[in-house]
Amino acid sequence: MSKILGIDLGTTNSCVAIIEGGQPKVLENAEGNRTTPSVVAISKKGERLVGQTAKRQAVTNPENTVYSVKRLVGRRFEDAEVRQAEKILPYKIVKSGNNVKVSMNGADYTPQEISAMVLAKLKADAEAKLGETITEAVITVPAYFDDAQRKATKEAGEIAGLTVRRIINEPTAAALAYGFEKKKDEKIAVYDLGGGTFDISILEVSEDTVEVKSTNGDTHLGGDDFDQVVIEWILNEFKKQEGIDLSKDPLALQRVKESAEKAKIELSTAHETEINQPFITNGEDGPKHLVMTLTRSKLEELVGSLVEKTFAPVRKAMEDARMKAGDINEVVLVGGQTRMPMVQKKVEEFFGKKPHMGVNPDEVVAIGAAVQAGVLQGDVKDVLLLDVTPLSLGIETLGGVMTRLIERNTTIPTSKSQVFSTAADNQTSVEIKVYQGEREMADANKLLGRFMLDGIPPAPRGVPQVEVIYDIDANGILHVTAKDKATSKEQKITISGSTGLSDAEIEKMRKDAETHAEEDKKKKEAIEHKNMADTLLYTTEKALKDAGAKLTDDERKPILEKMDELKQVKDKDDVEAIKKAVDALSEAIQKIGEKLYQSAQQPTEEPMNQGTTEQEKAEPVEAEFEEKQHE
Amino acid sequence: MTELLKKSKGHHQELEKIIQERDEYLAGWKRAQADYQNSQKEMNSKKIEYSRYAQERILEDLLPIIDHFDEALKHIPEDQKQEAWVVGMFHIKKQMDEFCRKQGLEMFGKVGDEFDPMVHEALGQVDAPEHTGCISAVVRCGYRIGNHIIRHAQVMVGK
Repeated sequence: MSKILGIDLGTTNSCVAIIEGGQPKVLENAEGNRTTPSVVAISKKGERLVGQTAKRQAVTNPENTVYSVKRLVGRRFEDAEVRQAEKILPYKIVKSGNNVKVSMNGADYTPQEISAMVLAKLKADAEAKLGETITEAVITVPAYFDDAQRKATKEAGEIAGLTVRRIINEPTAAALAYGFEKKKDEKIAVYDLGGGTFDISILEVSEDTVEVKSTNGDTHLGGDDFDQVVIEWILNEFKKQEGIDLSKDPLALQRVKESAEKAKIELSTAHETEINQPFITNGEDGPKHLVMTLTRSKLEELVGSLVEKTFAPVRKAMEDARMKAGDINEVVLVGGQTRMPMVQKKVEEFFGKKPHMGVNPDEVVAIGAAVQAGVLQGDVKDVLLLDVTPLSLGIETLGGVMTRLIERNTTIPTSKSQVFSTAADNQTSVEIKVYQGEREMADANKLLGRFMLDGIPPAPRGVPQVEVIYDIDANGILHVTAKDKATSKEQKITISGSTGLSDAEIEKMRKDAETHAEEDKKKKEAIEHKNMADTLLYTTEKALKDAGAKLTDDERKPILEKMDELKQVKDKDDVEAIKKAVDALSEAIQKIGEKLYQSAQQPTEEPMNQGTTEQEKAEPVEAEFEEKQHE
Repeated sequence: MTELLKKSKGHHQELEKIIQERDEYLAGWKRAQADYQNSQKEMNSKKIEYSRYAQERILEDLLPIIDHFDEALKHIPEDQKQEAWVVGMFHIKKQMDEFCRKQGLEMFGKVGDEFDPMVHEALGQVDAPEHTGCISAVVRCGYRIGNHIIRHAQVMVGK
């Protein structure tokens, strides 16, 4: 069965997603972008251009370039919205019966025909990407669209060669993207601040339905207004500094526009950004540079009133839905401008809860449409729900470090193995301690079980190879096996409670790991350095012994001195001192490297690896492990 | 006898059910294997795509710096052009050009070229009858690697 496209047919940009392998996925267009401008043009040569190409030639061909046609879809010529659009849109809007048409290159088109051109490109690009023919789609529309507008949107799909399986509301799609349709009796607020429009919708989820309780918004407020404020600020600042008005210079203005947008985006993650456009223009006394710093707080001061402006419609929508802010269970953010921390903060303040923003706000509507498409095509049912391990599983290695074999969020069933070795010469047994958790130090995690593997033939440290295999079956039962590769002797343990933790326990363990991340990292680092020091001392001693008479006492002396120095610091917690002593010793060895080279080679491959508690030590034997898997 | 027949029939039904289940599981398992292999294949082709993407992103960020450097060189006063430090700057410029060449970067967008929205972005129109429908000024040149556009040229179009 062919795929059903989920399409967010936006006022300024459109986005397409599908369900693949049970997961929604946004499809890139032919140009490699995840969104496509909803712009159509007929070029002077009579070619039809759609998307980015149409947008790039817009200024040279304004009367034949149609954008924002969504504002006209399904409208009657008399509608106030059409009157307003006529004033700001550069292309010609004509009356056709009771409805409207737009003119391009001497021909008149209905808004749905224009939308169909956008949809046809989206369809063709999706087909090219997927390598199959697409015939069906789910298309989203604003919650306030009336029947005529919905019908016209459906018609647009049909003109483009798509059977429109369903028209769904944009806020509903956003809620679907987060899986909220399953949350019975919940009330959801969808705050959608896009490039040019703002919408707020209040949804209520009941038995199998998502109902729009109220909707409101501002059809002329969006991210572009935010950009404009920043542009004006830059122009004013420059005028103050240099006395030059850059707005008169189209080339400079273009650079200012681009820097303003870039600065705005950067300030969503950084607290400060530098606008740096050297040689922006020429003054009487030579070239002028536009260099200024914009802070996040300054930006917030500049656009604060715009953000505030969104809350009047929000209040109105709450009133219409007869709800108080506290009644809302979930808040969803849609639209690129909601990436701004201030928007998120204000929304959180208003509703008293953190808004959801895990899904890319530019794509969340298309993803929700794809989820709906997935339900229609029955894909979702086919998906076998596989569990994941909620926490990492590993063993304790030298110095009490947690060495993870299976990382958390690994899909089960799964199996991982790693080869470890001994930490001391002639060690004949190793203890395997199985831990679960995210902390770097084993004893801060949960001990699930322990066992001994003995009968390892005596050998120098680092030589024996003990393979440890962690296997979690589909029921979440963990089987741990340790096997001495030389003797094939093995021991195993089965742990059935490994996933028996409650959600709260899991959450607590994750939080613990987060709060202790920094100190754990330091502790682990200290142990690693200590282990490295131990290894270096061991190999140096061995090398000196092996070198025998090849080294004179004079050559030995500096090395022995450096070894003593390292021994003195290695058990203290001063990482820097250990590092220094290790470097000094390494340097000393290198000086007589030639003679030591051969003997130092052999067991020295171990330096970085952590071994286990006075027992095992890790060794990177990835290749062997790989082979083993395929046997 | 009827008891035995009944029992056998029951077993038979159970066996059929088990066979059906087995087929279902086998199909599911095969599908999972196929999904895995397909995702491996996809990942391999993605890897190439990502590395190309990463390279392009770096180049894209580098281009404005190259532009600005070029701009700076243009502003060197005539009477200073022979000074050693200026000559040195031009040597650096040569290195930058060499770097771009090695990356396969090719500059495009010249005054007089016919305007093509596939590769050019029009920032405005100016009265220039001799350049009608063509580029009358280049605001920012474009770059491509082979047929792939790294950055569109920003231009003014004559009318």
